[in-house]
Amino acid sequence: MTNISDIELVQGCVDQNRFYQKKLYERFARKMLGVCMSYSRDTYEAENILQESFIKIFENIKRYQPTGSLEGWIRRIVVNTATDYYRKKKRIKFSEVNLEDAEYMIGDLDLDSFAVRDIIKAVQELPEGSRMVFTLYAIEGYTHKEIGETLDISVGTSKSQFSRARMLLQEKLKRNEQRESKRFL
Amino acid sequence: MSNESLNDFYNQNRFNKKLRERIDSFEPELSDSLWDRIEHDLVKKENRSKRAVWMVYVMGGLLLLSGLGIYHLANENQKLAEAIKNQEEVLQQEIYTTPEVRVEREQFPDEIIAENGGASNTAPALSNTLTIAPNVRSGRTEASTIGMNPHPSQQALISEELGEENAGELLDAEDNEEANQALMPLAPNDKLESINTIASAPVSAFTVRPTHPHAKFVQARKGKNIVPGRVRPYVGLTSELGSNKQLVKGPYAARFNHEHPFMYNSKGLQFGVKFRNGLFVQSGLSSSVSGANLWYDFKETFNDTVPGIAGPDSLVAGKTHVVNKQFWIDIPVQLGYIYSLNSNWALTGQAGITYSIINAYSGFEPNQGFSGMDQAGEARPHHPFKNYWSMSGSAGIAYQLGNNWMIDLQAQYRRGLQNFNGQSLPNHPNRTNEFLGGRLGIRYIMR
Repeated sequence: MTNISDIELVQGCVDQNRFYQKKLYERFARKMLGVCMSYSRDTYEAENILQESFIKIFENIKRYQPTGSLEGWIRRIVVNTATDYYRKKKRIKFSEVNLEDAEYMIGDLDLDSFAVRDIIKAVQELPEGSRMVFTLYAIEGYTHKEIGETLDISVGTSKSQFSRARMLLQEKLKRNEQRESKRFL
Repeated sequence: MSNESLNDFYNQNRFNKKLRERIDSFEPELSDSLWDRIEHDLVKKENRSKRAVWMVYVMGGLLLLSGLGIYHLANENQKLAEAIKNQEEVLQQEIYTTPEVRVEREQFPDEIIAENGGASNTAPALSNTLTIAPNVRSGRTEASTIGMNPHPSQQALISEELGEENAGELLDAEDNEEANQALMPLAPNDKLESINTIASAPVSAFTVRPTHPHAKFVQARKGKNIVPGRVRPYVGLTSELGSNKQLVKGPYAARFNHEHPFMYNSKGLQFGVKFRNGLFVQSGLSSSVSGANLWYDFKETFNDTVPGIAGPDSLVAGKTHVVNKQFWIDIPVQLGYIYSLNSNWALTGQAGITYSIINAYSGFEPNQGFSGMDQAGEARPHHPFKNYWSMSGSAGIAYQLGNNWMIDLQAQYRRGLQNFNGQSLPNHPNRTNEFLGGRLGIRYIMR
């Protein structure tokens, strides 16, 4: 029973078999928690989103078509749950952005020099609206039009929020980098 | 696009790609309790869907019953209409068209006929002839079919005329009294008596045979069915029996694997007023001391703490039997409706709120291990009486016995409108009650 195929997992979950549900959770939960963390302020919120996502996954797994990737299907539910989570709470605030300032700050940044946890932490520290736009665009590959439809904002707002997010993210990462290097001087 | 823009576009894409790779490779540690929370939610949803399926069956059953009832009622009405029509035709034929034997009697005095509104008004009571006609329905010739039993002195004549086997039996006047009232206008008793004394062949009891099969049914519908009747107060007894469960909400819920419901039984009084259109308002007073034997399956690990209790949680993992005796006094205020299917059966439903006064004490079985404040076998002191609101709804069938009694059996659902916060269980603030079961009631309707 160590190598259970995706099809077997899905069938077990369709039958509401708790064993297979747990196996599905064990296979994807950690990766999906990483996804949730990039949308949330902290781990507590990320776990709440993940919990809600898995309930939706188990409720809707009979709709999954085996022609597509199971991980991709699960990820989509997680992302939708994350955006719904904030939209329902009406917590997304999009502050004004000066695009010229934002564009000015765009530059090259070597992400390999940072630990993933630090990158995630920096993403989590972004303002809510910017963080949502940034994650959907940079990580999920949504277009600004799709983001606009998902978050009910204009394409322009999506673009400006993304630029602001990148600017802030680079600032945070650079600041952390400087802090780290000073520590070793 | 300028070189600078192209460069920036390239940088952006590279940045995004790298970021995606890094985040995709990130697999943080999961909290131990996360799966337990998901499983708890799944169990709750599964139970809810099972309950929904059960409710669909119940509602389907009730709909089927009501459909059958309505069909039966419509059928009966149609039969009744046909029977009445047939009866009218039969009476017409019997009285006016198909006399076979006429037993001549003396003419009643004109003044007696006049006093009774003329012969047409009271015929055949004041008819001067006793008409014996064939009963179209039964095919027999019966002396009584036209609405009057012959005097015993006439019976011999009839028997002689028709033969013993065709003469029929005299009907018991008492037996047909109800049908008489329903079907025929009666001359006043004193007039009948005077007729009896005046007539040379005196008429015995003035009786009419219920010549169609639903005559008594007509009488029953008119006299018994209390639903469409006028406003009437009622009193009665009620009993509830079913499964009661304490719903645990919020983070506190995460510590349980399962909770087992317990049997709840209450008995009490009910009283109310039934209005003309079937609506009724009801209240009552019932109590339950059946209390609660709760079985909890506590998880091994849980991070939440109990609000109101300092420090870590006090209960250990494992199956736990909690004796939580509760004394309830319920005062419901409900609005209901009775839909009459026929003179005996009705559909009924009611909904409202219940004000409960609860007194409780808790204890634990000695074979369970506990830490902190809850020691094995320890009985907590009685909590003071507290107030608690809940809402309830029930639906089912009712059966009417005689003119005054009604028994009803209903499926009932009740749920607390508030938590036990500061109520009977002060340490369990996120709990409320849920009851699913049956309700049996009997009412005496005053007329």
